[in-house]
Amino acid sequence: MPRGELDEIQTWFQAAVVRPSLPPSRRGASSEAAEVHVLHSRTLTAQERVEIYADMHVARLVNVLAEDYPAVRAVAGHDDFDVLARGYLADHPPRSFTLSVLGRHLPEWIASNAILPRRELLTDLARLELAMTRVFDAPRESVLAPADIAALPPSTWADPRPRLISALELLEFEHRANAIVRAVRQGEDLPPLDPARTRVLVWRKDDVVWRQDLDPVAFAALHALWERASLADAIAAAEKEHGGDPAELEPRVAQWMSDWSQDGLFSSIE
Amino acid sequence: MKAPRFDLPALGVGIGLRTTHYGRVLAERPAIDWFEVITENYLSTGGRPLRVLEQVAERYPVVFHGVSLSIGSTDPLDRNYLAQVKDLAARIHPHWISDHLCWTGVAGRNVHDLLPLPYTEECLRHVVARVRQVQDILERPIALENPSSYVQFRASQMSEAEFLARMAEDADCALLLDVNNVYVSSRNHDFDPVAYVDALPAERVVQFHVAGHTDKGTHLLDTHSGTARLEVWDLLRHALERTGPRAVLYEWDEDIPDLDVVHAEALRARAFLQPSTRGAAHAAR
Repeated sequence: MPRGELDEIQTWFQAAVVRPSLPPSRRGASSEAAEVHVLHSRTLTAQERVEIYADMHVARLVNVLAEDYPAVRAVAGHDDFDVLARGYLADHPPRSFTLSVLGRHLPEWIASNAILPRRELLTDLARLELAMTRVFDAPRESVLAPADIAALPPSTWADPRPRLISALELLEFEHRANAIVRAVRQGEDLPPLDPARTRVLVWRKDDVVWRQDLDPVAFAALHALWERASLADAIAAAEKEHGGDPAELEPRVAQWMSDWSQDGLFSSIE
Repeated sequence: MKAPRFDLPALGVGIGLRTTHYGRVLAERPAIDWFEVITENYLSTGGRPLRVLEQVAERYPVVFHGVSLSIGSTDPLDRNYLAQVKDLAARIHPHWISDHLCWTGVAGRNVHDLLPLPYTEECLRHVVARVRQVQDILERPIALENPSSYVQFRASQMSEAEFLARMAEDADCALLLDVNNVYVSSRNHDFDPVAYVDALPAERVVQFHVAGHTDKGTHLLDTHSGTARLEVWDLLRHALERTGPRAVLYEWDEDIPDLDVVHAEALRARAFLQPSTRGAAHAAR
């Protein structure tokens, strides 16, 4: 058999297997091609044998997306999520050897599909669930001991730049994304789905992914550190968001630094 | 009986390391001979799975079992993937690395399924050359597993067993013989599973897989669910009589029960790892 025939068989077979990922309007019958390449069995036609692979293929990938995006699935509904997932897979077929990145484009894909019901809410949920996956798989690194942060007196805060761990993401949402994700994971009733601005910290500590809603002022400070600001500049960002007397912030800043170091958010000090 | 081609240990009876069992395996250190891990689950991650694997590998023999090598694809080998496998192997020290005789995609796509190959002379040359490349890159022999399959290509010029035997000899690689896959394919393609086993070079078999499957009426589906059928255990017994003691692993990937249940099913293989066990499959029921 010339090498081209192996290419031909694999190209045809792959197309036949992945075709059900497409919306029904884009599918086409290919039983003639199946007859060319595949033998019948005693019980199945060539096309029916190929469809065994096709059925397993789309079901497996939709299931992977459902496992990575349980809140998106819960809010979209089982049937709509199935349609959504198949549409996404048609536009973003898997190319990596790992399925952990299968859904990495789902938030932007949802955001760009104007016809989806609750598109903005689903986009927020997908962003948070993708962040959880990324944080789960982020590289390992050493974490600064709380004592190392505590050893920094406020008089020195102009210079130090505490670096945050890479297994950390900060996100802003137009909905109660964290509350919805928590409710879905715990099997509770969903909170209100109407718009509400929220800010969420996602990080990994001791191999567990944690999530925490942050108030706007704490978010401003931590976000500044995330963008590699000095401690003094992070506090300035918090003061700007706070808008009141800076003295009121001092005890909060001390508490944040204590909490964040206890939570293992810092990897080093530059 | 020929001496084994590869100096690899007969590890006893193992099970697949699965997420749902992580807690018990680490906390209770159950008396399981060895674990097989799905290689890809521990690549591209710095999180919990990798830490668990490191701890398990400190306590148990570990073997890597991959699903993304795509040895039969006409796409180039994924050298990034192979580099990651090699790096992980350098850290974990698996006794061997296995994958499947299959392909998982072309044109840059990964279908994430173990797709069947046409068993032709040209495909054989293609696979043999790639196995050699992989073994050069990984600097160790690999074992390839016979797939379960649901189609047979008109282009095929030889049986799957002949293909595997010639591939193993020409590439000088090892074989992972999945007796459930043999049984599933034998029913789907109407061939004699015992003759299939007898056609393989026993001295190159380093490991066996046993698993349950699902009868869909028109065909058998390799679902790795539930307990294995008596015919599958009988096939394992027959194969072990040809090979002598080898590592045996029980696969359970759908509706995974408690660790004890999986291990108890796996331990049924113990009866066949002793010499003179003809008929033990029935006794083990």
